[in-house]
Amino acid sequence: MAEFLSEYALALLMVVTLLAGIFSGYPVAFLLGGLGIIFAFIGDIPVPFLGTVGSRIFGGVIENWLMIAILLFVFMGLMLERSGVAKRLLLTLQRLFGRTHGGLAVSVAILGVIMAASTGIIGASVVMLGLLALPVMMKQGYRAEMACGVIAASGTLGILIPPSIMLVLMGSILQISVGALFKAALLPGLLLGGLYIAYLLITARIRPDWAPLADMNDVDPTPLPLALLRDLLGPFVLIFVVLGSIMAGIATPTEAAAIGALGSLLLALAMRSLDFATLREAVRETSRTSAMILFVVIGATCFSVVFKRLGGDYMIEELITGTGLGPYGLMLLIMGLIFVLGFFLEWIEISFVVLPLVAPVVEVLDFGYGLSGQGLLVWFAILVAINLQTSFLTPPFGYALFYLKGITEGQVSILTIYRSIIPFVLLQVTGLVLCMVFPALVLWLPGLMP
Amino acid sequence: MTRATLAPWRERGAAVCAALGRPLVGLGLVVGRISSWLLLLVMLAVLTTVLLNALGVNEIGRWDTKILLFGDALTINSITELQWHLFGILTLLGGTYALHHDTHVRVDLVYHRLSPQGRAIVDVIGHLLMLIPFCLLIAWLSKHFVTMSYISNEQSNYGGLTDRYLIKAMLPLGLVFLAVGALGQVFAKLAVILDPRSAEADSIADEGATHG
Repeated sequence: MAEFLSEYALALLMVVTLLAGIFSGYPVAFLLGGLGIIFAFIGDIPVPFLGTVGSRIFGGVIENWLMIAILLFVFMGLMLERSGVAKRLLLTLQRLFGRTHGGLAVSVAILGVIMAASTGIIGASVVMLGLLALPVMMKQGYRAEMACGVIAASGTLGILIPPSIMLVLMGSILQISVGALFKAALLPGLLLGGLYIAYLLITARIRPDWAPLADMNDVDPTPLPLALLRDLLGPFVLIFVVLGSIMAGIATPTEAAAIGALGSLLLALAMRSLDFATLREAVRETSRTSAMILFVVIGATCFSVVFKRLGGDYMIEELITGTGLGPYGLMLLIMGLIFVLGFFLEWIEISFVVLPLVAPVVEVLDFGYGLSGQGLLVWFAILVAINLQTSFLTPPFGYALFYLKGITEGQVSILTIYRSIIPFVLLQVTGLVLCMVFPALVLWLPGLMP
Repeated sequence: MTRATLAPWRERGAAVCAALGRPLVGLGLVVGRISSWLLLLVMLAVLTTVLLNALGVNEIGRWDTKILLFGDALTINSITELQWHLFGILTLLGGTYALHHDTHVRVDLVYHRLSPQGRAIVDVIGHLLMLIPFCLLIAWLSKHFVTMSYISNEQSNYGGLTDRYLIKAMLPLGLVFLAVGALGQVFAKLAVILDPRSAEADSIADEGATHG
């Protein structure tokens, strides 16, 4: 133990200062970069060695085609939201399911699945869905527990359901095909979405007063089939084209994202809600959001170069293998660690700091399915994705819950929000366990099942 | 805190800091707003390559004299590489834009409980100790890799864009630009530390920024 501490003193100190710094509230991107520099000096690392950071940033961020997909997906999501396409989709879905108790909640879940995928960060997805759906649900007399739970859960489901920015980044970090990851995430994502919808419909059947029917008098007078055609067809075709072309291998994620971005502009145009101010705001917000994501990558590049030089990767490996656990034990340990980190960090930092460290350990585990290499990493990435989503929802620290609280303007207490989310956390855990025990759920669609 | 309890030197110091910070922050915001539009060019560049691929067109035009960046021909590879050239500029300048809008991810369990002064102190220490040294050091160290690219006349291996040093130079330039923006933030936050009342004026300026 003493030997371990003295050998990895600096690497350990680096992790401790990172955590302390994160809690101070200083932006994580800058903290990662700054700590890299500071520890390079403390650790007496030759300055030319740090010179590689610049070329790594260039190669990993600027010259990296995949990163362009992130920019364009963020724009697509923001454009659909800002132009009101999302809101009309929700209202029309609500009409479609209007005759069923809980229909509005199901509409919100579907909207979350379609929309949240592209807004980038959990906070933004939940806020977007919340601002859109919460007033509608409250006006219709939904019980707060019912409304808040479905918003937080479906807002975060977007990080799992393709086209998800997180999966694009994970593919880049773990060096696995984004197309395969998208395919792998589809069944688990739909499984979770299906579990949500089943839960909502069953609850609404048992307690109809929790999910009252809409007052059908004040909806728009267009006949339903026409409204469906107008508001539903566009977004569905858009998502289908984007996803389909990536999964079929016709288009790279970047190309599909550009088509999606153009599609979102055309949809806004078709709805006559594309004006200069809307476009300008969407463009500016996209630039800030994607720069924010990419600067975490830039900062993390510096941090991890120095961290590895100080033996940090060996430290993690020794720590993990030193537990003497079997493959499933190790997997649970890593998942537990990521779950706890998810209380404090966005998926962006976790993907960039933690994944590269644990991936080499996971890569050589033998789970006895004959899984190895690409298949193993794809399975692992999807488990991490579900795990993170669960972590963001779990009280008392879940990220999504704070954001939701932020937009309720004091109408809903944090305890109500905690209560609202418990059923969804249980559904999440069910989904996670299913994917762990039956890797085929993840690996069958991309054809990676041995 | 009322006007009466504030020492005159603090009031004056705050005014000076605010005046020093304003142009630096303003510069970052203006550049960020303009560079955001590159997004549409990136989208167009990607769509153009998709279209050209589908049509099976490779070379779009060729001319006699070599021009900067494009060399002597415009091919599908030029446009493919143009995508990430534009994207790189957008991202590097966008970092400063995001800094001024406070878009960068914070873990605000503690931060949002702090007073405006407390938050300003966290940011000032962070910028001076972390962000500015990081930007300047990495910028200085990447000078070498830009120079190498210039001397070796580095260009695309696939008949795309030439003069690779131009985009490589954007990395140190973007980082220095971010350091300048961070300095502007340091001044702005110092003004808040010296005179907490200016925090209110500051947040109004922010409001204007989001709408404008």
